[in-house]
Amino acid sequence: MPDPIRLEWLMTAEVQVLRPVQVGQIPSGFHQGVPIGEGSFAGPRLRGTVIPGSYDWQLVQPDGLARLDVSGAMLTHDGVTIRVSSKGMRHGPPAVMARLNAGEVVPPDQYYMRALARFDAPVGPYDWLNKALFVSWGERYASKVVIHYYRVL
Amino acid sequence: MQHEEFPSETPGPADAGRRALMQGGLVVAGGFIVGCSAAAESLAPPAHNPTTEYAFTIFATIEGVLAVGDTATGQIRAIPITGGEVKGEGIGGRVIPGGADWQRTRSDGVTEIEATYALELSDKTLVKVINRGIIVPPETGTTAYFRTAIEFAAPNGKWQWLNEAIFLCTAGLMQDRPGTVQVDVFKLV
Repeated sequence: MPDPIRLEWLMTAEVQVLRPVQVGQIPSGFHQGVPIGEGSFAGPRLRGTVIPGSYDWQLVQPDGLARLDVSGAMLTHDGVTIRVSSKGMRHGPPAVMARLNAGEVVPPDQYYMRALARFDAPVGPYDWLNKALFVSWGERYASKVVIHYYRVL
Repeated sequence: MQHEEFPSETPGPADAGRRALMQGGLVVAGGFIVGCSAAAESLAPPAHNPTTEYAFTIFATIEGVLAVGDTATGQIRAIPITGGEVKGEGIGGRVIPGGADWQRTRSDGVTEIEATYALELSDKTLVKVINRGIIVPPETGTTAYFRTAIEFAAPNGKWQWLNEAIFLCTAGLMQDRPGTVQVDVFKLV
């Protein structure tokens, strides 16, 4: 059996989320965009602020699983702008998701919030971000999310 | 139907923008950064780290190259996928001939791949596969970084768990089976 793929912590981001823009029912589910506000991120090789103004577009499928799709940007402490794209999912037992959606604090190990992340960095000190895959797991709270990013080794 | 509702006191985007200005937060005007907030607070490493669990292996056979050639964004080609097998504990099947692995080699030498094909599991279930990732050429004395994220579309029922997690892969041409790519699939837990 092959050895598991190892993951190396890249950074943790804490980001304010605002009132969702609700498209409503579309043919494949309930569609809404959660605006991303201010935030910051930090890790061993990266720190800075989130550039506000992007959306986490969510599609809640009829079975309750939410597909998440973020396209945003971040600014490092030394002034480099890096695009961040993320596609993933959030799901869990219906009772847990109901509490989460009601804005209650729910331990993050009770639901599955995971994503693939992609960074597009300019040539320079952060272009190593263009040369690996990244994943994340998230913690959802009423008015913020905490996202932990990892490099896939 | 589950969707997120927020308490009415949740500030709107306009409020956030005003607050950013008042606090001297990042302000971008006309594409120029005219102000920047203090360095990010230091955040401790997470108390919990995710892991990956081996799920199964796809052995995909390939033959030939369809070379599109150089484009403004890189060199594009497709590798036809001619068949193969799926092997793992509690899962087995075959790769249906007729897929392709589309590749684009960028100016930095990294190749982005997107393989699209279908699996037929041993109970005749068909599963759509899109496998996207990158191949980073090896530095001296090391092997290439060949990692992908594989996305399945399986019908509702026994195999729908394939739709409900993130799966990562290590991949590479097999030394002892020419023309075969071994794709080890791991679930992100």
